[in-house]
Amino acid sequence: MIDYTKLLPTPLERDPAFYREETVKVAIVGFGKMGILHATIVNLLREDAVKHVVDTNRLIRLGGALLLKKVKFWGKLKDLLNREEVDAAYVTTPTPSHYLVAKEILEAGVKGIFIEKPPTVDAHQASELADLAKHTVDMVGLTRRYSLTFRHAKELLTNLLAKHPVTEVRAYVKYGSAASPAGKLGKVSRGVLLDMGVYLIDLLHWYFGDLHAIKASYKSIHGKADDVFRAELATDKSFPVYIEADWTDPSYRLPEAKIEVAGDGFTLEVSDDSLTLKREGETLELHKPHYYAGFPPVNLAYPEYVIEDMHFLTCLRRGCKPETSLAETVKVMQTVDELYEIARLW
Amino acid sequence: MVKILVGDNPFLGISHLARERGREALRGLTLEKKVEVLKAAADEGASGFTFSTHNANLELLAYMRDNEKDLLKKLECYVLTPYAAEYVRLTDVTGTDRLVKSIVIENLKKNPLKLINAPPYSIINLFIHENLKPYLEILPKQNVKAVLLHEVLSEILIAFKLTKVVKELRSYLTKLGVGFGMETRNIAILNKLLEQSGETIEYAMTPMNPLGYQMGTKEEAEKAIIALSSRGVKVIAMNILASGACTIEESAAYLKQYKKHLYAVAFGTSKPERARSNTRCLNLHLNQQ
Repeated sequence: MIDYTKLLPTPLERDPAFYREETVKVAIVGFGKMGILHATIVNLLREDAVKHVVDTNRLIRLGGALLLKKVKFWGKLKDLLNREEVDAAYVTTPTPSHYLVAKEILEAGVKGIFIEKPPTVDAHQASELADLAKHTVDMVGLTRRYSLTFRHAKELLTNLLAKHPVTEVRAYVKYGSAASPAGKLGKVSRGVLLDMGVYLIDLLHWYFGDLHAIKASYKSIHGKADDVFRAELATDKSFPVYIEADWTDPSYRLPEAKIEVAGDGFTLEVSDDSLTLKREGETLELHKPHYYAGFPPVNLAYPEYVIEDMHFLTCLRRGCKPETSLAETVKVMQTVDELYEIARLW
Repeated sequence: MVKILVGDNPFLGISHLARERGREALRGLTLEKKVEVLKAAADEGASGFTFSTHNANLELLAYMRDNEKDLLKKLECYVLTPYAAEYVRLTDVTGTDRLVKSIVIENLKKNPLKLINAPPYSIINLFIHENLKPYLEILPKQNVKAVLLHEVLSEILIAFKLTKVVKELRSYLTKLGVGFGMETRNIAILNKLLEQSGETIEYAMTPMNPLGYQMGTKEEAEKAIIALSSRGVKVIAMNILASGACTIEESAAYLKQYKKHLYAVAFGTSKPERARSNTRCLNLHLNQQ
């Protein structure tokens, strides 16, 4: 069993009573899958914390208002911000609208903002928002940073890299969500790299520092956007990093990320589910249940979603910056931009 | 007697220990092989099958109706619905708004009068009914013991305290002659909600394993299980092996402490020999000692 407490982000209050006793008014902007997910987790942690939902879709507002009597539904964000006081807003609208929605919230002076990943469509927008958010508790939902397998890998790599140079890194993120033709995906020009590859880029930045794009190629299957994206990157220490993002593989029922690090005398494989470290003839193999024994205190989807919301709510209470603030995310988005700039169709 | 149920996760390629392992296990897992697993467990005294409304299960049940009638008649069924992962995938493809719209339109087309004359919550009944329909057509009616709301919906109902929807679903399924239950990983909060609202459910399915994996705060979950069972809720323990991180012996020894509060325990496997040995071990700890 692993002592998970050492891997948790700081600050993070582990006592469920901390959340239950906290008075916080949360607004959810965009009541799609991710909006419902965060709203549910926040309400599980803190009874009736979700007070407002903004959604431009009338059917969602009508259905929501019929069911959720304690929540006020709004068609326009402006109306909510003008008339009510909220402590924090979750931006869970489609990615192309993140920038304008987040800007409006930041300019209204809301204390905390959580923006679902990817924060914006490019680094320029992310950078502008980061400037606006200097005095805000701002967080980007780069969920895998809050996964304890990936956090354990960070801890192990920090120790390993001091003595053992890395020779090569391979990473992928795969899913079958776009395994059939889809109208929605055709409307955005940036596809799987922006939507899912951003997880990998963020983790790789976190593990190895700055990344430089060397070459990149993509395939479009269902629309104009990239459905499969492959790239080679380099770190300051010159070892190659190969990444693949693919949302067309139907054998992946759920999104799955994996990073394999080969180094001098060791290999480390880490995924959403497990971590394997082989070194000097010994193998350390740990699986998800070893990390999440009796934690987190509430459950929905993956535990990392709960941990990220706990981290956000703790930061909100203490008025400090979360680990994945907008400013921290700008360099991730710059790498995404670089990759799109050099990418060629294959 | 604590009932022993076979779960369907390995039949769908689901492994919470490792997705890679789940995909591998699915390769070569034919309908015949799945039937072998169910038969092996039934031979050792397992009384039921708990499964979600996934097309692979529909195919399996249709195969059993045509080729394994006796086995199908023998198994009590605990149906989990809707199959949430598919809806989640669809929201990724079409967007939630379009998905909701298409569900409403589909139900309007199929049940125009029912929907127009019904109270607002009825759309949920119809949605659940549409998911269940093909299964109810295959399964012997007396074998369908319970319909359990999948955790994705259960957690939303719990988080937003939607006890009216719980009541509506319960009365709807009771009219169909089926017990209503909720699958949840937040059993302590569910217990509190039911206690405070005075609402009840017939079944609660929740993770229970020595590690406390997916149980939230373990002690709170255990207390809630005792409280629920003492109020007559039939508790079904799932994920008893902590997704494979515990041995069956460890799990059986842990569950034994709570046996008087348990209605059933469920485990999943893709191997007939494992189905046999797990059922034997659970029976020994929970029903024979």
